[in-house]
Amino acid sequence: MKDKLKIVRIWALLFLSIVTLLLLAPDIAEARGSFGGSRSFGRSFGRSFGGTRGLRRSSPGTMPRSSFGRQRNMTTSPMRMTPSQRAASSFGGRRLNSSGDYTAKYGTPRRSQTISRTGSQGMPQNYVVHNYGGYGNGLMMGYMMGHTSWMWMMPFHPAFYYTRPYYADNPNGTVSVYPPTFDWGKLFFTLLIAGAIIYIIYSIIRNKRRMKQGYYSQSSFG
Amino acid sequence: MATFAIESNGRLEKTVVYYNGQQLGGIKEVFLNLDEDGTFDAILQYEGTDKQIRTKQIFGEYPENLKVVEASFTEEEAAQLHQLKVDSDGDIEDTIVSIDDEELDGIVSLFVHIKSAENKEGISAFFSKDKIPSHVEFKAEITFRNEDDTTETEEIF
Repeated sequence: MKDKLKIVRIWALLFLSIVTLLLLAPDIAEARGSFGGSRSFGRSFGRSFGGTRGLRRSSPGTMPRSSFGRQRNMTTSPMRMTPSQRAASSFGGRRLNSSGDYTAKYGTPRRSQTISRTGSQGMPQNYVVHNYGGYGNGLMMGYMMGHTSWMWMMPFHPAFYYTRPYYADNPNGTVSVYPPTFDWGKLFFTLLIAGAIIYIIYSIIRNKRRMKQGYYSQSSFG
Repeated sequence: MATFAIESNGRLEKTVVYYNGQQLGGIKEVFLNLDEDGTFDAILQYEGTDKQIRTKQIFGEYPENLKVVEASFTEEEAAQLHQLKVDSDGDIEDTIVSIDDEELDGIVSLFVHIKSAENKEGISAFFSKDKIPSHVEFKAEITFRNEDDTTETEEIF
């Protein structure tokens, strides 16, 4: 019975560790992109410069050496990406099916402004930034301007508990950008993990105290 | 001639060891295996005042750096316990065994093995609520020869 309980506890700890990794891995991976390089709209635009034009994923053994002949590979062509897909890859947002998905939940924006930026393919792209005010709005502008901080990935910073900005393609070819929203799931898992850590520390202290004061207090052994 | 005594109620948490009248601390293991055929194993493993773990023959070697501690039991508490005392110079022919200050004779063999719990390590130790570790060694038996030449084994504590 005790062995079973121990196994359950160890599994619980493993589960928490995996959840922590899953929770933090995307943020950490994205955070790496914030360091180094030069300031740009988004964080991965710099990767497009230098070298020769082509698909990054191609390798000599799997792709034709020449651009001519054979058939066009439609699945890997960057030109087939929608504007919001390109935008999402630039600053890690969440893609919406339509602007209505956001406005239905959060209402109409206080104001909207159009910003023109050069996209990852070197082509100009118009972004319609919707301002709802509040903390999420500041975060959205931070992400869009590339003004992010590694502290945003830390649980003690409020930005950690917010999603990335939302994006939606407009029929006219522009991309609507909506502010991040509070992520209750992240808060729940963070509290869960923090609770587990506190419990582990408490258990260590409790066991040490018991060993010192209780069990061996009247014994030569120990 | 050294005097070695164990006072206990049969549970490790209430077991103290005395060497020449002084209560010891930091004991890891006690092993006594004495019999009338001349077997005389009396081994003490302890952590010394210098934190070193030592293993000594109780009656054959001088146990240096012994950790001497204050008496754990009051007289009332001690009255609830049994005391096994061995006075010896390392030779079975010159060994007196007493229980509760009563000298015994007709002993065929004496076997005592008390070992403290190993420290739990690893992540499972964080969650352990066990007050008493499960892997404690505590065995104390004495075998007498009766007047009708039969033998009888009794628990000491």
